[in-house]
Amino acid sequence: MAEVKVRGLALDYGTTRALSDVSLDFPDGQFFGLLGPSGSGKTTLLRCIAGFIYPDHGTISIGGESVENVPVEKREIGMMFQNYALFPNMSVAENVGFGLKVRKIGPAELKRRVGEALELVQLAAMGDRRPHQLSGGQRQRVALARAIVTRPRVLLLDEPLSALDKALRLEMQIELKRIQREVGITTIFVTHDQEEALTLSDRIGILKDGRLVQEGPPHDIYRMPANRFAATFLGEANFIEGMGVASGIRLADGTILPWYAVRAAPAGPLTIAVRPESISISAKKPEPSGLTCILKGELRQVVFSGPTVTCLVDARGLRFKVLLKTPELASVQTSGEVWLSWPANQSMIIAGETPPVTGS
Amino acid sequence: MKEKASIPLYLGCAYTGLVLFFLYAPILVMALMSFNASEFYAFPLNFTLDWYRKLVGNAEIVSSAWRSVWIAAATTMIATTLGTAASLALFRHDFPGKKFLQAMLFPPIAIPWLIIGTAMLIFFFWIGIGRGTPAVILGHVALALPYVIVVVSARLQTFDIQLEEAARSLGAGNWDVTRYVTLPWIASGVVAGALFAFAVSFDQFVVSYFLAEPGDATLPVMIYTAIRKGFTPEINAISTIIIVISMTVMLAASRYFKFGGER
Repeated sequence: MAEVKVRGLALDYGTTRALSDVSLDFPDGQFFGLLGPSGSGKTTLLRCIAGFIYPDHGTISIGGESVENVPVEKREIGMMFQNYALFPNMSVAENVGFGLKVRKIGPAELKRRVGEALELVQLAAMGDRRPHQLSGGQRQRVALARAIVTRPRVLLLDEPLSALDKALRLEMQIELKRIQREVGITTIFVTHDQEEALTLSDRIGILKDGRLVQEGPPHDIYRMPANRFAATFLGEANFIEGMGVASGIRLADGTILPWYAVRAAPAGPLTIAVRPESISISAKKPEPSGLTCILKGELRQVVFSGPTVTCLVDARGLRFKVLLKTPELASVQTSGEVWLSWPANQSMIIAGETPPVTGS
Repeated sequence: MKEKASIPLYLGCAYTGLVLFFLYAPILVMALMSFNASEFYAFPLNFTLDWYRKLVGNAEIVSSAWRSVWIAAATTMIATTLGTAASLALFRHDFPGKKFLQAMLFPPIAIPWLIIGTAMLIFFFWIGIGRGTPAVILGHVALALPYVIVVVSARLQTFDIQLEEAARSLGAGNWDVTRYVTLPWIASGVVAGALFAFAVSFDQFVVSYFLAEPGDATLPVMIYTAIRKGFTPEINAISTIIIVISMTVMLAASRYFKFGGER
């Protein structure tokens, strides 16, 4: 078990910058999710920590020990790969015992520890099987047992759940979290699936174009995204541009949205973001109150998806996405004039303007 | 396969039949004659093992046969080890000149052995190795190496490099990774490459003829010399033995190496 620190990590692949000046702390015993679109550098960062790639600049330490010049096999890590990478010529028990065998652990202890690891992943009866005789979920568990049986200082997971179907994936997420808690190992998890990152992680780091965009507990990032990218990559958001004034935020047409939040509304031009699930829709104008933002709009479309519906509403020349629970829809007509409202403390100020991301 | 037998199909069968006939009939005749009492290919066939008996009594031929076998064994060991190591290096690493190096593997397969043999003879004298058994083995290894690399590399194409990464992440050093993970996967390719190397060396005439010293010829060179002195059915007998060995080796190789490398 150990804390992992990277400082000022930079790496170029030819002319493309894979990582630029990434500094991050991965706290001891925590589950850390590295999240980002493909090409954001999250896998590169993981492989730098593993030791498969050596960065051009920067330092990496595991448990306080600097490992820049330590080869993979001496870094005391455990790793799970996208396609599991089980050794096809070995049985399940031999796969799990491999790391112990190359460490010259005696046969009695090896057998005991392999047994314990298989027990932990609930595959105690499968030791004699070959990898090709297992289902996807079982291979997953073998790969996990193999990665932790050597008691590594850090567990690195490279999108290990992406090959599973949705139901199995959910089950494995819960399982992974249980085992991580039980073993208490520092875990770094790479994923492009935001829901997965939210479900599993104690902390999340969002990467884009080789840079760290934001880092913190999932709820904090969700509540206070650093910029448009963080706001849309972790969840969805409606963006409203305006001008910070004493009483709130003044929109282009003079409407004032009240402001109430932990951070005071700064003066000058700014952008706020509102989560679709924070907004309510009503047919009649709600009672105006100092702490409610109210906008009139036109309901354009209703998209039904089982437990929730997404309403698309045009207001102030912007298209708003509003997420309702299905029963709430009954009070709204399917088109025409509607009123949008949300508590003022649900308006999030976006700092560090970046152009809006498309397609995600 | 229910379609009507057409003219092209008959032609194809006839063609294949002719190829096989001209390929194997001479070999078959030779093998038969090695069991025939008559020295002049006279029929009817009178079965005898006399020629084999004479062969065993011919110290020159027997000693050259053993020399051929151990030279082939030594060549196989050296070429297979070097060739497998080279294939692994070409598979694992990208380095400047890699493509050029890979391309340079093929000309030795295509260049006539006569020319390679002459070149080697001149070169070996120039650098002071001269003729003799070490020179023969050196020449054979050089000829066999490209075959081993091509066969082993083909097998490596089906290997998932992530298995090596997984092994390293579990604490295995280079040798452990190769021994426990990579070699078991490419074993069939290595065995096939070894059999190719053995066949290339054992059947080699030209290079051996140029590089062996007069006193210690290999079997093919010995046979050639014997024929020049005057043909005897003993030659049929030893040739039959060589064919049996060679075909066994090649059949074993094809058993281990599916052409195209998939298995």
